[in-house]
Amino acid sequence: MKNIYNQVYSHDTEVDLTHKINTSELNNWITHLQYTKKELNHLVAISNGILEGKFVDSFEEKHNENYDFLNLLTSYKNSRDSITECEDTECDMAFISDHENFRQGYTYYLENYRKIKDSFFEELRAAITSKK
Amino acid sequence: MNSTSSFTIEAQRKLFIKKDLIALSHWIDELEALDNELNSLKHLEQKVLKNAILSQNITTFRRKNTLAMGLLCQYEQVLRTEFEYGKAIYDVKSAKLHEKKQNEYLCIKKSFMLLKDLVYKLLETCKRN
Repeated sequence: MKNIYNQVYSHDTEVDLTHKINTSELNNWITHLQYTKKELNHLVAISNGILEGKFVDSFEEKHNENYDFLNLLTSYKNSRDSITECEDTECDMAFISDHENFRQGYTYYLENYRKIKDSFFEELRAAITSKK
Repeated sequence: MNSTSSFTIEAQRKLFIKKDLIALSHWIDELEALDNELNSLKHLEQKVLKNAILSQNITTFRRKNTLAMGLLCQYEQVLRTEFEYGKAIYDVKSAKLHEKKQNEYLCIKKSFMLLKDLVYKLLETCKRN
């Protein structure tokens, strides 16, 4: 998205402001998924070192999902360039509604990822406690 | 004609506040989840890593996170009141405030990522005996 579309101006309408907030939020989702990619590599290394590779398959599956979702969000981000061409409320509302759908997808992805991480940490704690 | 237009303005105003409330609710959920994750990191630090600096960093971070959650909950109350009873238009001031809150949330998330990286790097050096 062009930089000019990320700046907030005093003459912006409510709709402009909402699109800008959504753009900024979308960038944050992308940054988070990029971090998740890095985090998954760490978790695989820890699993190999302490849990004899348990969870590695789940993490690899998550890695693939992450890759697909990241591509989807990047393509959605590119499609938002055409917001500036919206001429009626219907068009603006379509973008706003799309954003809420992507939010649901992102939240769903995070919830699942968190569940796997919770199980992983639980197992890690158990393995470490039994070692002591 | 006038009443239709004021209805539209009010409907839009509520829509934009509602949208901010949805985003905010996601941030609060995220910080809560982050607090749970912190429990696991704390446990690992105590049982395996035994690193005093890391322990201090975890404690400091937990304080920051709790404070940030409290501030976001306060902001949620402000938005809910505005949604129910407010009359103020949704303008640059509202957007800037939301942006400021978003930056505070992102700052916490970024600190947590750095903290996690530190724990992961230390854990990666551990091997099962």
